[in-house]
Amino acid sequence: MLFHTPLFLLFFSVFFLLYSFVFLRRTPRLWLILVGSLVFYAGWNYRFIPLLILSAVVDYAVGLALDREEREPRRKWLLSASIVTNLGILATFKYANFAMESASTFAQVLGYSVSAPVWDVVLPVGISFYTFQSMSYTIDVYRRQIPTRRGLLQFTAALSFFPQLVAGPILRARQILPQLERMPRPTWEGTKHGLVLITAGLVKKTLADLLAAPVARAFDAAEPVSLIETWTGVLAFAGQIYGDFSGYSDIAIGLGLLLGFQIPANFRLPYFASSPVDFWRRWHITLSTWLRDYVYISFGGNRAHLYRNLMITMLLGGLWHGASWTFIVWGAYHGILVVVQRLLERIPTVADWSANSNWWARLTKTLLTLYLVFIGWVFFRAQTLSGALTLLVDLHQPASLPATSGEAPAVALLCAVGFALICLIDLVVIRWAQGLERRRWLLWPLLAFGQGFAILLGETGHAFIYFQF
Amino acid sequence: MPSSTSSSDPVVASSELGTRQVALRAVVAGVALLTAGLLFTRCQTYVLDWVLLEDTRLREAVGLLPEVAETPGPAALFFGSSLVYVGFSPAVFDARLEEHGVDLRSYNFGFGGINPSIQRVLARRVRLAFEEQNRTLALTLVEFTPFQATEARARSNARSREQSLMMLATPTDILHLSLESPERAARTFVVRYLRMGLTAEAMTQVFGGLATTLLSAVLPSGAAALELPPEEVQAQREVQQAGLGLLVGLAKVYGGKPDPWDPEFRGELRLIFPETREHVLRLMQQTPSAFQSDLENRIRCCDIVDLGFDDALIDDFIATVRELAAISERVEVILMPKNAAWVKNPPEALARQSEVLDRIQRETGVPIADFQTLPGFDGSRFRDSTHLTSHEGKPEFSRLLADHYAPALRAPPRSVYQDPMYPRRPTGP
Repeated sequence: MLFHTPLFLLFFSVFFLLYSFVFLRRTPRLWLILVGSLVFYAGWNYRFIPLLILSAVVDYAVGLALDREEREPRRKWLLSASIVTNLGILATFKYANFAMESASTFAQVLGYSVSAPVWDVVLPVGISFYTFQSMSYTIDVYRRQIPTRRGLLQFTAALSFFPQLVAGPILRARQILPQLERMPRPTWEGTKHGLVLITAGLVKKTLADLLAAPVARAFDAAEPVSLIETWTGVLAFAGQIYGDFSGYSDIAIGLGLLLGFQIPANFRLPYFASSPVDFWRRWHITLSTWLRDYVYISFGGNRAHLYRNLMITMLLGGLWHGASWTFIVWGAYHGILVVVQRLLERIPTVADWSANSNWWARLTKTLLTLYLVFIGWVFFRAQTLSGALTLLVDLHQPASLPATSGEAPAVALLCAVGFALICLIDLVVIRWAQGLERRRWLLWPLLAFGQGFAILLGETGHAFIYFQF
Repeated sequence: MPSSTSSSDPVVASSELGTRQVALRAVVAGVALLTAGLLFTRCQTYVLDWVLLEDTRLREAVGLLPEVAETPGPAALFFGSSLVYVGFSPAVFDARLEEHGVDLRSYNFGFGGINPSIQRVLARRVRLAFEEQNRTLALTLVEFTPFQATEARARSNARSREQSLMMLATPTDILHLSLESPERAARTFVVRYLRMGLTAEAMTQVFGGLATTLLSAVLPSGAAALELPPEEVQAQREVQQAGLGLLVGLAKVYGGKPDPWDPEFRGELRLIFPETREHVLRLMQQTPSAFQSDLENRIRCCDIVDLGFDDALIDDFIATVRELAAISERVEVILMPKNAAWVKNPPEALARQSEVLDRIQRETGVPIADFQTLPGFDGSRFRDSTHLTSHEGKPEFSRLLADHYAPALRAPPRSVYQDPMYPRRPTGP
């Protein structure tokens, strides 16, 4: 079920009415959340519900065992069981075919004739998100950062909580379990803000879908396209992935607010970042903080082997997105950017410039960061590594490309406007949402217009990009 | 870690409202916003009704099917693509048949932007309408457009097919679809009943096309556009002006926007009036570069030269013929005249086409009349790489069809196999 479809509207309407007017006590509400979330998940494929339940049951049991166990070797073993189970499920469904294909290719390079068996497996939607969410519980319990939770119903409801189940934001156990414990009451202020976020998310998703065609023209065309169309495609993809993903996150957060729950922010104006490190503090915040807390810090953080730890973290971040060399290279690329930034900041001149906050310095840093991020998106979107490299060459060698067709400048301008609008919507929501929510004469017409825009032009057949991760 | 929303934390619990009051307000606000959004969309669909001619034409024709089926007297249907829409005149056809002593009322059921999968659904609606009235058609001609049944067309036409299917869905179709895919059924319901059959994709095409056209007129053009010689650029400007003049002229004739499927003209694209004749004649004189551009577009979207056929679309076409044969005394598959001056199919493509036609004939039992290479229909009878001109090609072809079918129509209804037809493909192996 996609958030921007009539079917989800029907589902959520029924759920909301039952949640708000019928199931008023905690336990029935937990059951409603669990059953509703499983119905939501079954909208994709009911066959993978047992996998979700398995992840929940294993980690709940590990949590209970960790509570009873004091011996460190045994605690480590229990934690390993949780991690192996979750990553095993992830590896099986997401990386098995990729691993076999890569091994086969490597063997062929070495001169052996090997053909990799292909396992016909469907990637369960949301598996990358809920396995990470589940692992965060056992790791936090192991680190004694949170107490063990009792109540399998509550735990499973937390893991399957439908607003964020299939494409995040990645909720940590410490963020959602206490809320399910106390069952917060929705407030009118929270509800208004939720409606603002839902509308903003729908509008951004609509704009993102409108950018899809120029993206396909640049990345999927059988023959090279003109320079303007190539750059337009890259710009459009930057807008598309941001509008799509942040739109989904906004809707998820908004839905949570309608029910009284606080879901953490996932984006904070990433295209206004002043450096690669700053970009990762603003983009997919819940994933980057998860990787920081559970991978980067576990490997030693900045206490030892800083650059190695940064590269490992970013590589895993790339690999998390998909079983493809393009994602691994994308992760490695951002790892190199982050490492190089850290190295350069050891030079006093560079450190001074990096700390300079006058408008010219900020503009330069932002534009440079934007360019570097756009280059990275080429790897993210391309179907193959060779396709990505070809596109990168095309972006910087116009002589080899066909001449621009008549409509290309107009399409480029429209894409730039679309990109700017997506960024502007976030700016408005982050900076001025409270002021807007106090002015009813402005708020409701704006929301009505936003809903109208999304209904008029929203192509409900397009899934969200991050569903494939 | 404290959680936060994507703005600074909202003021929490400053209201004294209870949970139910907040929920009630949320429901009211949600319903109001959705209603406002839907009203906004409905207004836009009314406005765009005039712009999205192909979709509106399809919807209006389906809406008028009961009236067509109820009309007394022998009737004929010419069912096909935009080639039929542009290239067949029921008035000329019927008048010519009358000269041969045949009384018949024909209808133009040609629609642009479709392919056999849409035609199949439309044919079913036609069948249902006639069965409901317990009537049959005296003659049904089903046009097979080779380039509409290619793999390239299946890929390029995916959205339009989905939209047309949503537009043509009946309540029973939606019910059956809900068992297969609740998501698609809900979407189909919304498009069919709340959006007047117009999908967001159609809206996007219109607004996007409009924005691109307006901006292209203002922004510097790409280098490719500058390669045209000055006389071609001038000729293109004149054609654009003629197009605008035609729209203004038609508005004067009809006192507003013309009906995309006009029951008075029985679905004919009637363009030539005193107010519009001059503009139509100018529009029919497209430049060689325009022909070339149109051909390249057809190659890209539909593989018109090499004809890589799509089996599923051929299956749909065969099903279309069967649907219409069920309510017709006489039915024949025809191929419209081809602009051989521009569309030059290699022998392999013609061989593939021949195989497909053999298959259609074999599986439907319906004869095929191939008018692709009619004498006298050279490049001058075409306004682009595929469509006949309004002032010469259409009336001439309509008269030819009448002359061709008049002998069979004078005779009592019987198997069409027994009637001498020209030109005609041999039936059977």
